[in-house]
Amino acid sequence: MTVAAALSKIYLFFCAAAIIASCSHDDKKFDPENPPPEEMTLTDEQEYLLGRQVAADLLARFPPVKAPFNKYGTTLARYLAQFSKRPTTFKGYRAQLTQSSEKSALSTPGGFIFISQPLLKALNNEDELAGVIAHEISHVVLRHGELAMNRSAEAKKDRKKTAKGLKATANILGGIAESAGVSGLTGAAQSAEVASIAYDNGAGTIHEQLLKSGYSQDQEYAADAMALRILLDAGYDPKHFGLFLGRTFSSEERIKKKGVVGGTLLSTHPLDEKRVDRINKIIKGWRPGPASKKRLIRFQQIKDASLPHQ
Amino acid sequence: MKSNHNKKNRNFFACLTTTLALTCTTAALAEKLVIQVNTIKLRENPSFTGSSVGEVKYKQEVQQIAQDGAFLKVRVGGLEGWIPKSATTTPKKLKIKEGNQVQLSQPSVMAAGKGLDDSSESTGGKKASKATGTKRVDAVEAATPEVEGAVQEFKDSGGLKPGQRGGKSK
Repeated sequence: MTVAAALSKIYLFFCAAAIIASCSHDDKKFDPENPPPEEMTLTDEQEYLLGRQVAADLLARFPPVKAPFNKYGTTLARYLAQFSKRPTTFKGYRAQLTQSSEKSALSTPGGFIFISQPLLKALNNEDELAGVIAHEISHVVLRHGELAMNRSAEAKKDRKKTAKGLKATANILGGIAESAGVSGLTGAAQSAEVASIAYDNGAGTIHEQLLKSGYSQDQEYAADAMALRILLDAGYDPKHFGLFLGRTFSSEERIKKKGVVGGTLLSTHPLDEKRVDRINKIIKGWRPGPASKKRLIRFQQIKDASLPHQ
Repeated sequence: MKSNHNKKNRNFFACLTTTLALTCTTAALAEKLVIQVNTIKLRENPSFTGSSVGEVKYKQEVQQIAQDGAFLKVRVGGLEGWIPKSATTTPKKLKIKEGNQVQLSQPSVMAAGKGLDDSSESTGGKKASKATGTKRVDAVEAATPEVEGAVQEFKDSGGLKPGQRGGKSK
């Protein structure tokens, strides 16, 4: 065998190894800072319909509030989304004020973003609100809702059941969508039994994940990092996001509510000094766009008009 | 004289062949894509706020003819315009994702248009909250104002200057 032939065999071997490596996806090892490959996710339509189910559960607990905030928050969300890796979702991002006794900010797959009245009350300016919304958008961009389903399945070590559940979820979502008049859907009307399985294995899992344990620390850090970049690119000052988190969670309230689980920003977005430090480290040296009194005024007007007078 | 004429003919045919080849290559490269969002505006410019020249809907096929950053210039029907790349996917990828669907033998009507039906709502004793929640989602969606034209005004009135950041300071 000539040297050239030997070299070409070695070359071919490495090519084959590279191809095999690139083909072998391990869905357990998602990079928290990168969404899963497109092929491994639900369609945008399925994601939206799953998000609707999660949203329905959340709104059953935390009723929506009719307020000027909804248009303002939705416009802000869609403006911010333009600077994300995923400016579009099936029906777009949508912010909604909700009743709650606690400060909470939650997003669902597909782009529903819920801000509670106490949280709005705690915000000082539009740049802080933009930080909260950019963080929630980042969870949607990174598809953390879908990953929550996968993570829950892994914890149960019952992937077969979950695969069945996911299929049922996709299936029932098709049925729901068809009834909803959303165009081009595949599923026919489905049985009630399957609806229940779909809910329990899909939307229910995400909902419970959101309310009881929140996302993983890595996912929160990833959403923070992405949010900061979105804020800077959109012309907001990212430092206000860190200031808001620091102020909120180092307050006396933080101590009082320690250990409370369920539906709070405290429980769903666990915060420690490390998280604020990370934020400050990321934005160190950034030079954001100019502050604007106009933003402060319009934020205050919306806030006053959207919160009950006391 | 005759030789000169032949040379001109040869040049003409060479140009014609090259043009045809380029046209064919361009057509072959024009990638077929499919819309993956409910609806999206076709815009004159590669931006979210440019003038709208039309609208494309879910699963509609479009031909990509150019790209500028996160925007694609597409041709659909007799229209050409720009849309965000994230609003598109390939037919193959869409099919793979839709592969999660399974066919079931016992169909039932999904009541209330957009939610689970009565019998499924009662499963697990979640009837009241789920039905209420579904109605609330419907109400939220119905009440969400059209913000399409509001984003540009929102940016201007808020003194927001995207892309004018200084980046990292020295």
